[in-house]
Parts: sequence; C-alpha cells; structure tokens
Amino acid sequence: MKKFLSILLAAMMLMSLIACGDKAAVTDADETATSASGEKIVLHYLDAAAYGVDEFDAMVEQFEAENPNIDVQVEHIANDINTQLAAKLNSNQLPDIFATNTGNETVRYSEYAYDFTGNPLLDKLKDSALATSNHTDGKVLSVPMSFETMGMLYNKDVFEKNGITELPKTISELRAVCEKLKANGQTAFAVAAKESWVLNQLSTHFMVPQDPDPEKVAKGLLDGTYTMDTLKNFSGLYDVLDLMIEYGPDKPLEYDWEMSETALVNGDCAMIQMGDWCYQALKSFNPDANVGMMLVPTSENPDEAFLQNNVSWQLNVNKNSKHVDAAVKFVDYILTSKPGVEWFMRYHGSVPSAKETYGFENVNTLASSAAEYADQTVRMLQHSEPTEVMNGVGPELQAYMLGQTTKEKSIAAIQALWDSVAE
Amino acid sequence: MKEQSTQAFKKHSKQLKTMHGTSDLLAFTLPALILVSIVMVIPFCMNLYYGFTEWNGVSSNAKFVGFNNYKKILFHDPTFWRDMWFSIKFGLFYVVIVNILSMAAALALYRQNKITTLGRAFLFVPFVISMVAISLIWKFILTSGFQNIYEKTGWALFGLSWLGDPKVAFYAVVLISVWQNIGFYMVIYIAGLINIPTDILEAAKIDGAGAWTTFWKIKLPLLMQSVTICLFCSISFALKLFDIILVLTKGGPANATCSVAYNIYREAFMNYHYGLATAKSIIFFLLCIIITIVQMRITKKREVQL
Repeated sequence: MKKFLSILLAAMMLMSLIACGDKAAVTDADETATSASGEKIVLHYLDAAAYGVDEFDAMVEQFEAENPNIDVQVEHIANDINTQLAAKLNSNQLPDIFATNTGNETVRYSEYAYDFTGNPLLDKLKDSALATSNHTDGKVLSVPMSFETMGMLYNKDVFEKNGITELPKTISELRAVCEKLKANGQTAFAVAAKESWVLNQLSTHFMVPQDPDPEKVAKGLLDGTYTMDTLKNFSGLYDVLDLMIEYGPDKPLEYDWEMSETALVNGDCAMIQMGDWCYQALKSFNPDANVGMMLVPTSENPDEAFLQNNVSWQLNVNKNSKHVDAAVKFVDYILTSKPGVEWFMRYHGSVPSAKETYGFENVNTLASSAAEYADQTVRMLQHSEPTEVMNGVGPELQAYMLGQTTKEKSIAAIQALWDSVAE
Repeated sequence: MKEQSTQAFKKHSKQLKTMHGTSDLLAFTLPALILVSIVMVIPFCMNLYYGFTEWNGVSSNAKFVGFNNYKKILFHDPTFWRDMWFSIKFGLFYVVIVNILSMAAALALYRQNKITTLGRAFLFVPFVISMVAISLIWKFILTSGFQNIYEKTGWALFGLSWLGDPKVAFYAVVLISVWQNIGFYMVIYIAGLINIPTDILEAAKIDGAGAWTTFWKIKLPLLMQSVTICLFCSISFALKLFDIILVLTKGGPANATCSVAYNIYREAFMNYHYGLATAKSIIFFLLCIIITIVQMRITKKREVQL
C-alpha cells in the first residue's frame, strides 16, 4: 500500500513538474522584482527526507518567521532524487540548496558547489561528521546532515521468547542462534534479497575488518593492494549468506525491503540486515514492535563484528545562486539551530551532525541501541565504493543465493567489477 | 475497393493543392513538424553527439572520445548482449503468444451482441490501466496472492517463486505483458474482421467451407493488413520493454529479467555513464529499425487486396 502510494505521489510529482515550469518562471520574475526593492528573497530547497516531512515544513516556517525577508520553497523528493536533480541541473533549474548522497553522488556536483571553507558554521559541526563532506581539492564543498547506522536488526521479543539472551558475535554463534530458532519453528532471517542495495550493504560489513578506514580499503582495491579473495573475512559473507538461505523463507529472493521489515516487526523472522533509518517505517508497520540493533559477525573473532555508521546525506549550496548568503544562513539553521536539531532528533529520528544538541533525546531507539557499540562502529564503506560496484554486487550475490554460481566464482566476479572501474 | 478510395483521395488532394497551394499545406503540417523536431529530431541529433563523448550527465564538459563507446559496447560489454538476448527471447514469446491469443479473442468476439461487448470490455480494461499500476497489482498477486492459493489448493504452479526464480520470472514478465495488451491487438483484429465483406463469407459457406477452412483460406489472408500492424506494434513493445521490469523485478533476480531498455537506463542513471548509455541506445535504435524493416517487408508481401 505504501509503495502504491509512493508511486501515485511520484506520478503526481511528474505532473507537477510540468506545472512547475511555469511556476518557476513566475517566482523568478517576482524574485528579481522584490529583491531589487530589497524585500523578499526566494530560496529553492530540494530535500530528500522521507520522514518527518510535515515537521520539517513547520521548522521552515519558523525560519521564515525569524527571517521575514526570506521565503523558502521546499520540494521533498524521497524517491529517485538523483535523476530529478540531474534533470533540474540540465534544464538550468539547479536549486539554491540541495541534498545529495554522501560520496560519489556529492563529488559529482563539485563544480556547482559553494565552498564552505572558513565558514563559522563548520565550527559548530562534529569533526567525524565533517570528515564525510566533499573535500575535493581540499575544500569543503558540502555540509553533513545527520548520522545513520546499519547492522543487523533483530526482534527482541522473538529472541526473548526463544530463550536467546546472548547476542551472537561470531558466525558459529549466529548459526547456533539460527538452529535454536529453527528448533522452535521460527524463521531466523528474512533479508531483503530482492533489493540489490541491501545485499551490497551486507557485503560491505565483510570488507571493513580489513581496515576501519573505508577510503583505504576502496583505494587498495582499485590500485591492487587488496584483492577480494584475500580481503580479510570477506569469505565470511558467504557463510552468512548460507545461513540466510538455510534459515530463511522459502522464496528468499522475493523479499523487498518492505516485506523484510514487515516480517521483522511481526515476528515472522528474527533478524534482517538494515539500518536505523527504517525506524519510522518499522513503527508504521507495527507500533508495538520491539526491535534492536546488533553487530554483524564476520568471523570466529567477536572483535571483528562491526556496525557501520556514516552521514548519508550532504547539503550543497549552489554557488551560482543569486542568494548564496541567505542559502548558507538557511543551511546553518537546519543543521545547528534548536528547531533544526529538534527536527533531526524528534521527527526524522537521526543523530544530528551538530555538536550542540540542546538536551533533546533521540526518539529513534535503534540509533540509541546502536550507540552502545560505539567502539565497534566503523565508517560506512558503501559511500567509498564506485557506483558500478555498488550496483553490481547485488545481482552477483543473488546469483550465489540461487545456486547459479560458487563462492569462488562470485568473489572473482566482484573482483572483476572493481577491475573494470580501475581500468 | 481500396483502389477506389485511394483514387478518390488522390483526386481530393489534387483539388486541395490547386485550391489553396502548398503554403496552406505547409501551414497545417508545420506545427506538428515543429513539435516532432523539438521532442524527437533535435534530442536524437544531440544523442548522436553524446554517443561520442564521456559524460556523467552532471558535469558541464563532456569529453569527446570518438568511437570508444561503440568499441566498448561491441567488444567489452557482455551485459549489453546478455540483455539484448533477453529482449529478443522475450520478443519471440510475447509476439507469438499475444498475437495468437488476441486473434482468437477477436474471432470469438467480433460479432456484435451483449455478451461479446462485455467480453471485449473485460479484455480491453487492462490496456487502459497504467503499466506501473498493473505491475504493482501483479506483484501482489504473484507473491502473496499465489502463495495463498497454493496453501489452499497445493497446486505446484502457484507454489513457484514467480519473482524470485530467474526462469519463472521470465514467464511472469511475458504473462503480464500479454495479459495487458491482448485487448489492444484484439481491437485491431476485430476491425479487420468486420471489414471482410459478408458476401465472400457467404459464398464460402455455400461452397461448403467449414469454420476451419474459412479461417485459413479467407479470413486470415484478408486479415494480413491487421497482422502487419499488430506485429509491428507488438515487436516494438517487446523491444522497448521497460516499465514492468522497473516496477516488478528491477532486472532481477540476478539480472535474469534485464531488458535492453532497462540496461540503458541503468547505465545512464545508476552508473552515470551517460555517453556510453547514449551510444547503447543508438545501437539499439539501429537494430530495432532493421528488425521492423524486415518484418514489414515480409508481412507486406502477404497482404491480399480485394
């Protein structure tokens, strides 16, 4: 139903795109008219948030009330924002402020991005967040929005009901948990194996044991320092995939993210691979669900089980915008003001990149559950992966899950993806 | 009959010319011409250029690389040819099945009465619904719907993993495409059948031809014009197959249902190789042209004029 709604909305958005052409022209006209007389500045903001949208708009209204000369026009696009943004750029309608995925997606827009170097805003953000910005040519071309963590999600009630008190940290402990669940007739896994991005995210958990610095691993794979077959613990991925098939549903490859999350909250399965960003979705599927986050075991060493954490979205200011100063002011407001931080923590359900949190508590219990593993949390590797690899790993792992290929062939195929980029 | 009408048309157009001159004709065609060039011709020419560049769709400068993209596709891109094979295989299944079924439906429903009107409406409704909505409905039917039927009946057909098994997923895509489009081709065939003069059919009946002979010797030859149109439409639909794939399978499982159009989309909007994707689309365009020209040549020859 939700998917259906989102498609419906996407269709409506497409329609509105046609209408937007005229609208943009109109606002452009009164923009020049009013800014000439020094009255009102219009900012266009392209937002990617899927949750807390109404509260975001309320926050924007508050900003407008505090800055009566600025009018912010927000466009929320939760699906396929990359294509929309490229389309806007190529029709000369790049918004004044726009959100992009951390990593390659942001770097692609470097030549249009305003340089934040030396801006006082940067001092108000955490260093670990700033490390994820677009640092092309040593500049600061984007500012980080908020932190998200991914790992294994588990249904606490199902674990408790089946007498599992210790969370597994090694692959054999994970197998023992699966067997215990199976003995009680409980399906252990329902991973969203239909989604190529979920399988890719899963695979990155088995790449970080090599080195906690994701850029180093990615760079090493590109220049040949590392290879997939010798990458530490990468073969563990296939052991876990085996478990996911053996103790998973009958038709594992039919599970998309929605089915996977629904199965988890309804207790139809005990564990899935996902991140804390799905908290609001889980709540909407079943408000009573009791879900926690646990480490992803990658070997027989409990210290080599990790969570991955990163800033997933960056804010960019269009450097060719007529109102760069106002745009930066708005970005500062979203990221560091009290209403902005409140929005991240109470309505969006993520950990803001600002140092000051004004004593708010994060509603997202998954995020706080992940925070317990701070010393076993590393930066996400997927944002350092080349796009071709990111899109190519999923189908290769699906082929393995279907029994079309062997572990060795699958690893070689993933190596070939990296090689094709390195050429 | 047809000759008469073309003669009449020629005469009429001659009159038009002498009456209003070419400038009037131009005035009528110009708006269409301008629109077509804006949305088709000009973008196509731009595509020709981008096919020779390396461009990610965002950067302001596209690097000219000559024929590199084409070389890469022809010699170093097995995925493109794998997906091309999928599209051709899909095309074979789809074109044959949809044309046979829609012709059968047309033969059953071309006489006008209350029951056939209802039947036509039922078959035509899926064609009116958007492909995206249809794919979503079928996604539900194939996953939870079939699962429930299987649990009640135990029939193995419903127990298959329709979207999770590469072999079965192919037939799922064929099934849905056929189901959606039968109505459209049926209408074309019905129009063809209605146009067959009844005196010929009566003459055949008097001469003792049964339903089978009438179909093969009279109806089918006289339907060849409709067959040409239907084959043309169904081949181009099959080659362009995209929306079902995007909504229903996303090319999966394990790239088993990746059509050429989806391959090009992925290259352009997921891998950001806009130049390469453009080159692929041009190769694909040429292949489509060749296939349709061959098809038109073959079926045109078999058309019978009364």
